[in-house]
Amino acid sequence: MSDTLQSTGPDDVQLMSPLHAPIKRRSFFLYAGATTLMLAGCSKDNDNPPATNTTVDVGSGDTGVLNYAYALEQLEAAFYAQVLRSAYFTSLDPASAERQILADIALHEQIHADFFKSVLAGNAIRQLTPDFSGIDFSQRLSMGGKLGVLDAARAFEDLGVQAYNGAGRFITDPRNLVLAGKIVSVEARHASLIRDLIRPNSFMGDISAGFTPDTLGEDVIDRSVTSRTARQEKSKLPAQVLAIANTFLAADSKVSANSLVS
Amino acid sequence: MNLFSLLDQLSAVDASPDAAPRRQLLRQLGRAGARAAVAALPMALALPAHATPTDTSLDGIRILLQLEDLLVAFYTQALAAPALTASIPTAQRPDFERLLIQQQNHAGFWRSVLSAAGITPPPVRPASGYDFSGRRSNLANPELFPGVMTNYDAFLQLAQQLEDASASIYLGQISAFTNDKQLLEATLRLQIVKARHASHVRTLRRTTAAVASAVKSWPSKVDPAPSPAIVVPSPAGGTAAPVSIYSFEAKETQVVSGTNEVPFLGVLTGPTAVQYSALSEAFDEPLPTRQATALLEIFG
Repeated sequence: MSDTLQSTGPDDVQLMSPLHAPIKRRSFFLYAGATTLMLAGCSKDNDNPPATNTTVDVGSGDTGVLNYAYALEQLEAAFYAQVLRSAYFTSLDPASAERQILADIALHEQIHADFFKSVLAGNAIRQLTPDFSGIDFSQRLSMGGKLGVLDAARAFEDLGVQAYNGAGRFITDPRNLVLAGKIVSVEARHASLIRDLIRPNSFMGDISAGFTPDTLGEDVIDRSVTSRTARQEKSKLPAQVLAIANTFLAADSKVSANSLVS
Repeated sequence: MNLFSLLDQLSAVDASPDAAPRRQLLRQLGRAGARAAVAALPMALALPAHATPTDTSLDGIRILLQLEDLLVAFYTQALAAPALTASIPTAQRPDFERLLIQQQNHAGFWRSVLSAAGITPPPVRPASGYDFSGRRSNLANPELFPGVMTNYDAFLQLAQQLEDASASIYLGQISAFTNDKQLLEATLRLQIVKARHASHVRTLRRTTAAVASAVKSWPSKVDPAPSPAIVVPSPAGGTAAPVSIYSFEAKETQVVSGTNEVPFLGVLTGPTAVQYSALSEAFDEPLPTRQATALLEIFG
């Protein structure tokens, strides 16, 4: 499998286009870098129902940002909860590092979701219903047109990191900024680790043939050495993030962030 | 004499009684030009001693640039140390080359921010000017971190502490940039790269046979305590003994406003109950400015 489909633009400009594309799961596979899956997935998922159902909007201001984070943490928590019940997870050696890692991350994500729910209290968005039909929970890696557990985990973690990076600008209360920073830091640790589990030393990205420390292997950061964001982790605006996240949410649980605009 | 301290005092005194943030100084310098500011520096010596500015973006930039320079020096020395490079596994050398290149770019970023504001950034010091043995470039001092530049395990252990601390130092400075959305996002994005580095270095330690008990990829109470540990002044102040940087990470509670702790009841029931250690793992914690500054001074 190749990671090289990942956009190389400083802010994933290419991923802007799927915002209006009808085949949303296809864009996710592009994001996940699963070449073969993308090809297999696009014919299969062309017939997604039109999004005529209710949408959950996160709101505006700091509450909107916290709800936006809550939506993503709900999604991650639901994903890892299902991982813990999966055939793949239960088949792992109880003493294996990978089993411990997935169990730890599942707890972290549940704690994050709980945290936002408590903080937001009466302002919290409702419980979202995930749709993980694009994930094969019995497989470690992607195959047969579906994402494997680790590939899906990698996509969620990288997306989460980019989401927090792009949402910081909408926060006005410094305390909320620190809270978001505390959490995104751990998401980045997850992302790095999941990548290393899939392939050792791929914590910043693809290390296929031709890799040199200076030019490649940095899918997750801006590879430029001259731009203002040289070697910074990538960042995505809410609309870009939700276009991907919504492909993992049920028709009645699509999320929008229409008031989080700069 | 510290250029930044002078600038800090200048801005604090120049400001109206409600103490304009120093990022305004950055702007003013940008307009007036750095030369005028430097020419005015000797006057700062006569400034009243009671000027006690609060943290603002220039302080933040100063600390983060100092941090990046330290990391650059660390990996530069390491990749040039014959005994250490002989013990770094072949597959791992490119990792540290990447870490070095990335930190160089990050240092360059902060220098460009200063330049854009009309402030001459501090010059890049040669890597040899830093001492990662903890002797502060004086052989008569005790060696706090033995073998860092000769032994892979010792090197990894210090690398882990430095990368963990880097993510925490960035987090500790982030509120200085609340009013500058560009620097705010840059700070977040740079913090994330440090967290990725820290996670990977920890993964390397976990997969290295020389470490007896498992190191997690995030600070955890079940991690074996680093030995020797980087210690910084206790937040208790006074004569309290210095504390490990990980003492800040051990928090099991999160406070949102005032003293209201956020309840985590949901995770403490059911099959995963009573995993309190996960509560501290799930959040990285900031390293306050005082501790960050002390850490940076240990090595140079």
